[in-house]
Amino acid sequence: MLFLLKYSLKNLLRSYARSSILCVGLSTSFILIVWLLSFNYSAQKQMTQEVTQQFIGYAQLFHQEYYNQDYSEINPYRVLKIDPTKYHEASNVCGRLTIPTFISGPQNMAGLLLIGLDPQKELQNSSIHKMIAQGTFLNEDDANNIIIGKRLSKKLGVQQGDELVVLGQALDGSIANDLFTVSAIIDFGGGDLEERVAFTNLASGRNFLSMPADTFHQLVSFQSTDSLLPFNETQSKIDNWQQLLPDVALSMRFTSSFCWLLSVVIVLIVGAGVANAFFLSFAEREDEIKSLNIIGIPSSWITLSLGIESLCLTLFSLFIGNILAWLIVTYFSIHPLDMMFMTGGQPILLGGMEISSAVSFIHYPLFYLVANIIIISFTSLAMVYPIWSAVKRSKHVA
Amino acid sequence: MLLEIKNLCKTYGNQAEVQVKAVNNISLDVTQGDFSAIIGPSGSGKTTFLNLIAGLLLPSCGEILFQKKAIHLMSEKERTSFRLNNIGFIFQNYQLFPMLTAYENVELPLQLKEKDQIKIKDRIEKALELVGISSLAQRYPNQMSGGQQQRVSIARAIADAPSLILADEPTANLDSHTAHEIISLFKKLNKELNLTFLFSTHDPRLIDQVDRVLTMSDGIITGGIA
Repeated sequence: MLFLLKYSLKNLLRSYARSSILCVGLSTSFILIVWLLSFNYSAQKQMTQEVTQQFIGYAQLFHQEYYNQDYSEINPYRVLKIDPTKYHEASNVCGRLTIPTFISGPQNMAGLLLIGLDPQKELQNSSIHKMIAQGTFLNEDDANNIIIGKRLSKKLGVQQGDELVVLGQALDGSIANDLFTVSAIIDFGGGDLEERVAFTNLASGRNFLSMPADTFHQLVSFQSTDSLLPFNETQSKIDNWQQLLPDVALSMRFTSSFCWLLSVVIVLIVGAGVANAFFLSFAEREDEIKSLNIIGIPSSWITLSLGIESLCLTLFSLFIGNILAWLIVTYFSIHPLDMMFMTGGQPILLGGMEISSAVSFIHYPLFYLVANIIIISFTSLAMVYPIWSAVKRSKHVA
Repeated sequence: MLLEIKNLCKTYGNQAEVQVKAVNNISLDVTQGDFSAIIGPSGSGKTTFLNLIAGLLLPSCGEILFQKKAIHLMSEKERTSFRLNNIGFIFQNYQLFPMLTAYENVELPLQLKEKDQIKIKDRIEKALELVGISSLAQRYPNQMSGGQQQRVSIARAIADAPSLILADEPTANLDSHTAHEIISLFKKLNKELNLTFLFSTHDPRLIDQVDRVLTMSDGIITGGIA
């Protein structure tokens, strides 16, 4: 066995160029797979985080008749009465109101959803406050302050500090109308959301709608559905962001599947390349294998020797590949990869809001394990035919 | 009797009009300690004949009995094992493994036959000494001359004292002086160790050192059988 190992290793080292090329090929393939999987994972995670943290949340609890079947319409008359003690204890749950309204400015008017927020909790959980382009975020004690989108402010012809008329229908069926002061302008990167939503605090929203205290339209969690479970009762329902934003979820699933497919294609190409390289390197040594056969060396020994050579080469390449892949992923986690070059400088919009184009890579050990298994499996499979062929041809003595 | 060959033939090609009879109805007996040469021009069937004896090719007809065992009836695995345990091979182009030293080249077949590393070491050292290249044991094939490489090849073939040593044109790549030295070495090993040699050559100048000359032409042994 020791001699077999020595023979295989000496064989591996006899052609540095050939072994080096195979090694570089395998390491590069490994790095490419890990990079691609890490990019895909990091981008998906970042997109999910941005989509959920900016506005929609990870999951929402609402009255089971609040949304219609395809989430395209809301019924603001369906509210949830929440125990105030329980609500205040749940620091990672934000209560909201969603009010369909008309808003009127000096130049124009528009239909939009006025969202009543809990400013203190939103500051801790969501990233809405980070999108403020002008002015300051809401305060619990402010009365009738409103934050509108940049696009809407241009459409209505209003600035920070101007007043707007908001019209709607209160829960008691009466006409609701009130004056609101623009306290801030929000920038969602020019997405539709800038025209479709505006924000006020819970107290102003409840006052506008004549809603009782401690009632909400939604409870939003930015982490998981678990934090909403204590509030779930017979008439309420919990849905996650994929159910609430099916179009966004679908496009993200598509991107994810595409990246996985690309990884598989790369692996197949790498596998074919490795098989070809092994085939050529074994074919080159046909005479040598033939000589081994003539002097009585069993085919099993020859096969094992070629297998050990290939295995050593693969393991060494993977060792190098793992180190380099880790360094590269670390580099991109410190220096995020800006994907803006792929959009020609345009912002990336998803679900009506801008998604950060800089992807910060995340280390995920499972990808290293997967890439190692993929490369070892493929190289093992790729070696079967070349070894079988080399050993078979060696037996045909002219 | 070491080797009995009865009515051996080997035909290449399936259709009658393109069939080539490389070996045609040869019968031959080889006893332990024989020192025989098969002489004949290129294409006369010498290599095919040696390959048949070694079990590298299967005959179209006839029998090959090695110590009463029918080689032609053995499976491929059995024939490989038979070669490892009974036959030493010497090639025209030496067929040494370039990444192994002279010592390791001799060691290779021994490692598959013997587990006792001390015995292996003794046999390698003895074989290298017998062929006169002990001082070159740690050299690689590309650091040696053709004659030296052929000596390594001989050491590899004789290291385990096989019953029969087959050599296919062992001197074809050597100058006439070295060729004579190699045949003299064969003769010395034949006498000292009682090894049986059967080798092919097309060089008539070497036959004066041989006990028995088998002349081969068009697949038939035409002289020297007796």
